[in-house]
Amino acid sequence: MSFQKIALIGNPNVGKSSLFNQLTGLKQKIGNYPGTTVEKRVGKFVEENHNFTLYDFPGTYSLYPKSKDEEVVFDILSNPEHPDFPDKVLVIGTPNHLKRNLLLWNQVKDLEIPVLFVLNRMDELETEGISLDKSKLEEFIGNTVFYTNARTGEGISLLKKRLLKPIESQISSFEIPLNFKTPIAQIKQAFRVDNDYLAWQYLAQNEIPHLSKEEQNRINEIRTEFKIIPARLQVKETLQRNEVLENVIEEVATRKDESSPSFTERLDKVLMHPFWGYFIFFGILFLTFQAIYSWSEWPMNLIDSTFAGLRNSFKNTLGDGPLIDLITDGVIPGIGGVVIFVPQILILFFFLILMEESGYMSRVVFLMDKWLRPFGLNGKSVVPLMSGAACAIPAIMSARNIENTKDRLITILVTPFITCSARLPVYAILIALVIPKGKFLGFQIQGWVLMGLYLMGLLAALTFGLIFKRLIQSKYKSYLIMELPSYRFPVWKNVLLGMWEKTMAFVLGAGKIILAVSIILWALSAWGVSDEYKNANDTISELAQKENWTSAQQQNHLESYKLEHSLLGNLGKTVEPIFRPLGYDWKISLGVLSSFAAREVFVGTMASIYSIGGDAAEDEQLIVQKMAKEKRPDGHLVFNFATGISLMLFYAFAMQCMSTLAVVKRETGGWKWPMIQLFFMSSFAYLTALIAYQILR
Amino acid sequence: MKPSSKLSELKKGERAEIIGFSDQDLPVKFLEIGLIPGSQIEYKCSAPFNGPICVSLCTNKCVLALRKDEANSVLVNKLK
Repeated sequence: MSFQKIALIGNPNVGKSSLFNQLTGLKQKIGNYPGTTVEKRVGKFVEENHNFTLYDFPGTYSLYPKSKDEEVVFDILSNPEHPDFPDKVLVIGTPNHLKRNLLLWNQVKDLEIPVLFVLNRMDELETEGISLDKSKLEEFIGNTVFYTNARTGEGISLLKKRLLKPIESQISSFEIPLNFKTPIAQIKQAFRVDNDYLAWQYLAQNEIPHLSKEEQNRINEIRTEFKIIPARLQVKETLQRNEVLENVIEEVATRKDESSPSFTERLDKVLMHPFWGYFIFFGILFLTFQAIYSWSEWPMNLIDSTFAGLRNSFKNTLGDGPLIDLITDGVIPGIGGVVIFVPQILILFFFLILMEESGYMSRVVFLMDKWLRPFGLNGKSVVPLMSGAACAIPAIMSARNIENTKDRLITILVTPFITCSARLPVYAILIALVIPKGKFLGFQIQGWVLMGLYLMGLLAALTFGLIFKRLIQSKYKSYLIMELPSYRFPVWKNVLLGMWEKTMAFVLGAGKIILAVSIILWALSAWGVSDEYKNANDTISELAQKENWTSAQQQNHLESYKLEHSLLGNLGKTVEPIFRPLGYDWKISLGVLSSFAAREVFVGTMASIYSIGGDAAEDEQLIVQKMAKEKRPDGHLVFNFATGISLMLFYAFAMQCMSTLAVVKRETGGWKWPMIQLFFMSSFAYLTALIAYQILR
Repeated sequence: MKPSSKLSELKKGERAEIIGFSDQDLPVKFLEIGLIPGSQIEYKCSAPFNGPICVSLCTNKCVLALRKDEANSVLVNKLK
């Protein structure tokens, strides 16, 4: 038995992920590279008793990283001590972009790492009318070139067999330009590097991640002495390599002249049209959101009733007791609260990944870039902003491929304003409470209000983008250069795996925190220290006799009385003064407070406060009825129009999701930005809710 | 030699050869992705209101999108 690490490296859009899926089957898992947030996709396969661990590296055009994602490639390849340093590297290319692919291969080879060149998408030979001289290509590469088609699985088994045999690493053939010989010699001496090209990389990279500060300073000294600007070295190298490759390609590849426009060209005439392009994009968006709501209704109801049933059967079979209460009132509703969002998230990502896989998403980036620029965002912010409609957690993670740090940061900061699925149950209950039924312009008024809330979220995101654009300084100019890949039919396996990954990011990211907070909330509501709490049983049974309550009524009153005097109730009353100007009593304040776990916890909290036994959502009508009747001490209704609007505004804008803050902390590398986010979003929410309440009441 | 023009000044359907860049600090990604002196491109389309422009590389019909700003610093010779 032997163990080997294999890295897959390649340009974007070469079918690298499909190849990875073909090689590993479903034996793969997603983690993070140590010390980074970059997704690490690792798979395993066994070939003739040899174990292979396959790493799918982020797509990149060269060893010079442009975005957070790409940094990991050079980080690992330049550091043989790295735990993920590969034994062998596969550089993946396609016939149509051979020159560009060979540039990357050349760089990896010159690091003197054992490498094979794999030409994927061999179907392009026919569709693009290319013929390749394989022997000339192999002569240049100095090794066998593998032809594969990840869609059909062609060439995969041959490639696996080849991995069993050793691969010779080749000596770097990179020619150091004359006037850089001295600094390169100094680097080699200072860092005991004997590879010319690696030494060149030390000078040309903006940062060598595994070096210490002192070592980094040493490089900077050499750079200053010889007036070296890293970015110019990168350009020099690319031009130098390109000159060689130009000649190679001329020998290796010949193309039939095709004058008829390709399928992609014809489709782009419509999809990138200055009018129809937008029309179609917004049509697709509309369909996507329609699907999210209509398709998810049935599975969500099913999940809801399953968890309610589970809870009841636990109660019935296990009886009463603190530990059982913890399970039935803390853990089960907690898990249910996470799982309930899975259908909506799956459906949204189904559409997003479809757009990504087919090649359409980069057209959206093209169409939207100009419109998002004024708000400090760029075309690539479209994906996070759209994903934000399901859940901010995977959305914020998808901002990683935005190259410019400032654009990326602003995207991360404003994405939580987009109405996520956790806000919906809250909106649903509030709209039912305070917005009258009826029609306006042929549509339900309640529907208009819901749409208004969505628009307000988007508007807030853009407005704050505008503000941050002015506040945040950046030394790098934002730029956009991207490939618009040919349209391809999506590979279903990739789509399904992608949906699974995004959903797990939510379940694991938000799930842990939602579950933990549900348990804490339960604990706070189950304990009390006041005398009222301790004497609750007596007080209520006295009252019950006076008022002639049935035993069920008595039980409900007991629960709500206990909650009022529990630790949680005390907490609600303590914070009430803060929220009173917004029109909230202690019960609503408690709901708002508990929503910092996750927004939809509001519904559950309201249900327990208004002493409704059984499952919350099952009795949604009942909660609404009870909440509608609730009166203040002065006889006015608690949930009048002003309070309802104030609450909706608060939920639309406040940063009430701890899981999102945790993700932002991870993605921005510290507590600074999540804290700023918490502050500006919540104070903006407080302010708008305050103004609305004071005007409307 | 013909006077050079900017990539951003091309019209739809026009072809040109890239001869260089007026901005020395243009990110290397432009070169890596295929906008290299000597390569020939065709101007395809642009997004409305001075949005990004879209060119294709003549050799492999690879379609690239870049902003007007950056296209301003790409120098080209128009081809007939």
